Amino acid sequence: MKNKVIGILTLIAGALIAIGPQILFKVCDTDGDMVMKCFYTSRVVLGIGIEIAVLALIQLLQKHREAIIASNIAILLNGIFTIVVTDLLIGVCNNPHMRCHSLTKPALNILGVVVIILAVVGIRFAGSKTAGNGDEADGK
Amino acid sequence: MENNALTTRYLALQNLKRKPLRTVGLLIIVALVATVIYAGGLFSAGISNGLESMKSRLGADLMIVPTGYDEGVEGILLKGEPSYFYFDKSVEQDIQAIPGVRRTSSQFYLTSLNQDCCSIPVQFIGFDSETDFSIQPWISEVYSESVGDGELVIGSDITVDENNQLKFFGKYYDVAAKLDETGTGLDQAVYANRNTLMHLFEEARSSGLAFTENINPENSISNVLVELEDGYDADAVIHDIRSHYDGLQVIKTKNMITGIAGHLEQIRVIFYLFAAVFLVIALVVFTLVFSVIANERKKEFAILRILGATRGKLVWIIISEALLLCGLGGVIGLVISNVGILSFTTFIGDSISLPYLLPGISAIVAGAVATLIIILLLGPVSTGYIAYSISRVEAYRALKEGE
Repeated sequence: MKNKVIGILTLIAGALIAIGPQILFKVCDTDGDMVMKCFYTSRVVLGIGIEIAVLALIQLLQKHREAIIASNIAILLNGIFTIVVTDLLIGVCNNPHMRCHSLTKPALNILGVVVIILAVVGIRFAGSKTAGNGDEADGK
Repeated sequence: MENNALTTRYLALQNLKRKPLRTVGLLIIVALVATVIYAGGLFSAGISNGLESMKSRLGADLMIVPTGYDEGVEGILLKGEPSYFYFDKSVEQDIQAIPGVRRTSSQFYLTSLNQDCCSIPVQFIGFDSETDFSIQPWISEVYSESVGDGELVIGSDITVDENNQLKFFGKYYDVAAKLDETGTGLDQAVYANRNTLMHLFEEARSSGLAFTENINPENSISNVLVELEDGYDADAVIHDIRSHYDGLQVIKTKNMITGIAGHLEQIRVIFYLFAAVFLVIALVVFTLVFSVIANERKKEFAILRILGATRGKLVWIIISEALLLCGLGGVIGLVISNVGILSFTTFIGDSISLPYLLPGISAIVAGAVATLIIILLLGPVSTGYIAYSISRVEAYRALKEGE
C-alpha cells in the first residue's frame, strides 16, 4: 500500500516536471530566432519527467521488491538530474526577474527534491520488507 | 517481543499510529493553519519591509516629472519597468528659487536594448554628482570613492560578467559597486553620473534607438527631486510649482507611500481574517475529534486507571496526543511555507507589483517560533476540557457501559 502511494505521488511529480515548464510554470517565450537557455532546459526536463513518470508506473505495476528498489534508484538519479540540469548543466536565464529564473527554476528544484525524497522513502519501505521474508512487496 | 514501558509519550504515539488516516487528516489541518499564519505573516512583513526600504531610498519629498509620466515613475520604482521622458533642464533652477525648497537635484533616464540573449532592457538613472542627495548616500554605503566617468553602480538584481563589466550598446563599462537589496524596482536599475549617461545616450543614438533622435541630452532632464525646508507645507510648494509651469506633474512621495501602505493594510486585514477563520476551524475540529476519541476509549482509560494510572496521567495522554499532532503539523506547515515563500520571493515580488523585501533571518526565525507556539497552544486549548472530563469518569461505570 505504502509503495502504491509513493508510486502515485512520484508519477504526479514526474508529470509536473515534464509538463510544468511547458504549461504551468512556463519558461520564457522564445523571441523569433533568439532561443534562450531555459528553452533547452524545458526540453531536457520534459524527457526526464516522462522517464520519472514511466518508472513510477513500472513501480506501481511491479510486485518484486528488487524491481521496486531498482526503479526507485533510477527515479532518485533522475530527481538529482532534474536539479543538476536546471541549476548547472544548462541553467536558466541570468536575470532574476525573468519568469524562468523566478518561477520555473525554484519549481523544478522543489519537484526534484520531492522526487528524491519519495525515492529514498520508497527504497526504505521496499528494503525493510526485503529484510523480512519473501520476494514480493505486496500481499503478505 | 520488545517490551515497552507504558509511558505517556509511548501511549500517545501508539494511539496516533493506530488510526493513520485520522492522524494524517488532523496533521493536514494543523499544517494548513500553520501555513496560513506563518506565510501570511511573512508576506505582510515582506511588504512592510519593502515599504520602509522604498521610503528611505526615495530621499526626496517631491518628484517633478512631465505630465502623464507618474505611471512611468511608479513602473520604475515598483516594477523595475524601464521608462524614459525628458523636459527642459532650466526648470530645475527656477524650482530652486521657490520658497520652501531646501535643495533640488535632477536625474536623467535612459533605457537599454536587450543586452544579449537571456536578458531584458534595464533602466539607467543618471544623477548629478554635485547636487544628488537621493542615490549617493546609498552608494557611499558600499563604495567609498566617488563614481567616476564611465563607471556604473548597479542594483542588487543586475548580474555582471566575470570581468565585473557590463556591455551596453556594444561597449563595455566597469561596474564600481553593487547596491544593497531594496525590494523595489530600483534593484533592477543601473546608476551612473551625468557624464556617463550622456555618453550612453550618444551610444544609444548611434545604435538607432528611435526616441533619442529629437532630444538634446545636454539641455534635458527626466525629473527634479525636491527636498523641502522643515515646517513648509508641501501642498503650498506644489501649488507654487503648478502655478509657474504647465505640463509638469508633481508627485508627493509621501502620497505614493501612503497608497502602498493602504494596500498593505488591506492585505493585513485579509491575512488576520484568514488566520482567525482557520484557527477557529482547527479548534472546532480538534474538539470534536478528541471528544469522539475520548468516548471511544473510555474502557481503555478505565483499564489504565485500574492498572494504577493517575487522573493526571490520563489528562496528559490526551493532551500529549494533541501536542504531538500540533507539533508535527506545525513543523510541516513551517517547512512548506518557508520553501514556498523563500524559493519564490522574486516571483511574488514581481507579481504583486509592490515593494517586497523579506525580513532578516532573525525575524524569520522569530516568526516561525511564534507560529509554533500558537499552534502548540491549539492542542491543550481544544482538548483540555475533554481530557479533564475523561479523567473524572469512574473506572467501574466505564467498564460496565455497553454491556
